[in-house]
Amino acid sequence: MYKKTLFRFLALLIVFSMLLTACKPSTEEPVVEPTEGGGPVPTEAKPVEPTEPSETEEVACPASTVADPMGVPAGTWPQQYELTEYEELANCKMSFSSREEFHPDLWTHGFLEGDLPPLEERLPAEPLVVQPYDEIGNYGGTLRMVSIGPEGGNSEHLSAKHVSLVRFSDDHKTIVPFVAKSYEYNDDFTELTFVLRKGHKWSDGHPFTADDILFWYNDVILNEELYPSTPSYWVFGGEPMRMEKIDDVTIKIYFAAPAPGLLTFIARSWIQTFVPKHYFEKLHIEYNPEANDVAVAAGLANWVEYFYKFHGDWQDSYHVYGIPKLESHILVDETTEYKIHAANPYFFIVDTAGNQLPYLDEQREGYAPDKEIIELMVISGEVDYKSQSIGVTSLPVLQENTESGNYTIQMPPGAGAGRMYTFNCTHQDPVLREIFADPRFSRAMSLALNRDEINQVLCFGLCRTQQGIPIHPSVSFAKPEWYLKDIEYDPDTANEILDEMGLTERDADGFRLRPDGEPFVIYNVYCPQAGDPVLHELTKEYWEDVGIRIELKEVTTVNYRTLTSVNEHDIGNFHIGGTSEAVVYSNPQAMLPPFGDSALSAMCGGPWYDWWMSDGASGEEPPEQVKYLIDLVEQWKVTIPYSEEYVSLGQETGDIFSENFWLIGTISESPQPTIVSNRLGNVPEIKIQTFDYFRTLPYRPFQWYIKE
Amino acid sequence: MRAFLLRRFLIMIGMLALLSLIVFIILELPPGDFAERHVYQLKSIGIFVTEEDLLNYRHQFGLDRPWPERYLRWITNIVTRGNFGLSLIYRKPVTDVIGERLGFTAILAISAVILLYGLAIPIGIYSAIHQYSIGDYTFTILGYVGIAIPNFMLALVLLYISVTVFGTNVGGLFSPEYLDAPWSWARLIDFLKHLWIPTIILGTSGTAFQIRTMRATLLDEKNKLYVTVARAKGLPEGRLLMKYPVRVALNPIVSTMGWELTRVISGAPIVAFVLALPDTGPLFLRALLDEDIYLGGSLLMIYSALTIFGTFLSDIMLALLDPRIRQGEKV
Repeated sequence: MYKKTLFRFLALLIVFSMLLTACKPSTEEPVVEPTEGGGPVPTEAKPVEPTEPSETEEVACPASTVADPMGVPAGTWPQQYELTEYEELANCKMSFSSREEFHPDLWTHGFLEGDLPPLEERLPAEPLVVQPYDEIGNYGGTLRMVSIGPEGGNSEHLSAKHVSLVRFSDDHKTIVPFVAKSYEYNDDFTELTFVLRKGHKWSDGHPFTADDILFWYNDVILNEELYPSTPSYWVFGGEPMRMEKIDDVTIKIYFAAPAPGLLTFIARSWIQTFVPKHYFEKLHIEYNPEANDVAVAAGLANWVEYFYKFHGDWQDSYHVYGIPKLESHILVDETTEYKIHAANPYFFIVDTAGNQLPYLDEQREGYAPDKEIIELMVISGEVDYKSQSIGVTSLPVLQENTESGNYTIQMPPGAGAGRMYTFNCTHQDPVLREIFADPRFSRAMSLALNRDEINQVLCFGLCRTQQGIPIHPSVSFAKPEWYLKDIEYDPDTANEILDEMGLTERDADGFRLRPDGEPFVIYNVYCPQAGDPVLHELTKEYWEDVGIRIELKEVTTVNYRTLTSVNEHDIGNFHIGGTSEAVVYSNPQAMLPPFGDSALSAMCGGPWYDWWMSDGASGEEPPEQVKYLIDLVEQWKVTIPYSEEYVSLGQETGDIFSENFWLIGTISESPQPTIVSNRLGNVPEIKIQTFDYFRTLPYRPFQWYIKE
Repeated sequence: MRAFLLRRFLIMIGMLALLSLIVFIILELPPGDFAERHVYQLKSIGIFVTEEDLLNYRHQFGLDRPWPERYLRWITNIVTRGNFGLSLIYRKPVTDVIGERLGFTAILAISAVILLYGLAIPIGIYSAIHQYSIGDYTFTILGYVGIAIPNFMLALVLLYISVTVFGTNVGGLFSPEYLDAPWSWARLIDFLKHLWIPTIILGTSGTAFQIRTMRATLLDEKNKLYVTVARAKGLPEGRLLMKYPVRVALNPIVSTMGWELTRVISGAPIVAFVLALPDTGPLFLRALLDEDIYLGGSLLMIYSALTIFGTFLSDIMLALLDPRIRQGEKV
């Protein structure tokens, strides 16, 4: 009888608190807030257990999901909560559970010894609670992925297990805590504080603390033997940032100049800002004076090379078992044919029902060196998730086999700026330079292009035709007219402009001559890695139609790079990669001369870049509007994202590009066919397919699971 | 005979030493290096990388040191401790990377070589004896067609057949469920199911050539006087053929056997690439494309060593087969 009453009371309480929490966000009326004691306790229930104030803490937490929040209001961050936050909002007490068994190789490969401690000791005192998209998953299964080879830039597999201090949420705008519990900038963005989770542990059970971040920065990044020059990502106002440990879970970073972009960089970067100190100490010369002897005994030159055998910025670069990690899955088996990562028993995230994530037992990355083989594997249902290296040209065959392969094809857009052309505005030949630096010439060349045909031939008409702006249309301040300016196919106007420029003399074949009467031949030297060479054949035809003679020449990537870096090219034609908001903001390289990514794929203006970098000692002084552009971008870089100033300066930058035609656009990056197996659960619609936000990470692969 | 062997052996060692230097220089020749490849790979997936990243990577991989220094360390480690260096792609010792694939390479090579000579020699003999017969023409046409069809094309066709008709999975030597399973009866069957395609392709790729060689030399030999004499003395036709002209006609085949072995072991990289075979072929191709000089160099060293060793073996076999060579050495 007594038990029954208690049961009824509890049930009533749950329903009641759910109703309350459900209506909380929609109203501002002073409702009775659920208090710590359990909220408005029905009076008749009080006599039952009057001395137990925290009775409702016994209530298990609702297994809310993004699809069905079950009345749990949103927390500080979308789709995730801190443990105490969730318990408060849902008015419950979370109990934890985990899979029974972990991959046996975790022991054989020297990660772990003996029995695992109980789950409560493996989880941080403050685990991160995430809401799965559709349902609470079940443990088990293998996520089967495939790539062209180890370190072939196969970032989607990398992203499926990646962790960082903070990450992007799936709105591609909000930066949410991840490994860090919280972050905070000071008012002028010269200090950034990260708070870590108490009791967080590496995959070998060793505590993860502020020391591991300090070690990464002070002893790895700032070590002159490991990094002869400090990477520019960590340099602000000309000085490397400074890092200080406040306590075991708090790190403070100081900058010589405002650095609002750093958080964005950490959220999307491939670089992990922590290194397990207890493991790497013995490889580091400052902690272990014998580190060099160990390296030489292993046949390497010195401790630096040996250190890098175990450590690399690119997290795919480690191939040694037993390195402590924070990732959801850790390497347990690797051959030259495949790689297997198994669930980390110390992973720091739980779902709303208190199940330790990840759900997936294993992630397996197989290697198939040939794209056709990858396609065949997808078709026969051997792959659970694949997007990279699948082009739109494969669509017909992929669509035909969705049923037999048991997969769904999503078509999210890419984030690149597409294929671009530049006529070298800093050409070494003064005659050509005068022509190429004239925006009228680029405008004529742009009008001469039949972009619709290019779109049909190269992209089945699935791309957008657009002008060359190194800012993606999805960026918050982008103006639509930037992309539409002078993209219509109008060879007549193009001819008129060229005549007006004085390029009226023609040779016997009808090609225009230079103003000095010499033959006017433009060499389009390209490398296949920059994209399908068919584009160059098409543009050659269009430009020759308006009397501009083009000669094509194919070279290797390295040759192309050499040519452009010494400013000996006529045409720059590399594809400009990530131009999404996060990238342009935290690393706006493509917006500055040489309008590519520094010397690696210069478009034009290399000598301007040299002048700017050497403070005028070498290179060539850029024209006024380029100097103005540089100033503008420098100012814009330190504005607060989405602020008024940020928008107006950003728009001005875009306007300058639109006026000056440094880049001639063709078609946008194509949509990226993305294969998602139907047996995979909790995978939402992928909104953008790019490394800019770390591929799948915003879609939280740690809560993906295998149905059935 | 002993002097012959010793001399051959010493020449072999000298050749290897010289080769190692040539191999290293060849691999150093192409512009760019592994660091550059690595940076471009990052770039191709949309990551911005800077010049200074490139310099840092070059430093990480130790590629900023002069090549003679790197060559000396590489060769010293090979000679003194059998350490072929650290593969840049896999960040693992080269010996581990290659070792993993050596077993399958050997199995593939041996089955392909057996198929190759098992087909070529009897067909060659048949064609020579029955010159201009229907059988001879059929084999000749088949042989030419075999030479004319690119191997990778044949590989794709057979792959397609095996996937659609026999329902095996795509590429590789195992189905995914057996890939990392311990050896069992079922795994062996699965393995054999996958083995036939590469064996046929690797084996038959040299068959036509060997058939033609066998046929041509045998045609020369069988009309020589010693055959007529033997026949006149009443030797049965079969025994006569095997004992005299065939034995002599095997000469060119045996003397090229050493190369054939290397060709099969290096695995016709394109074929192995298309079939995603776990032998050393794709490894070699990848090492070259990515300018992993230690992996590529070591493989090239091994291939060269095999060629040299194969020639050494051929010499011995020839010496055993043909008394003229043994005696020629003594003179």
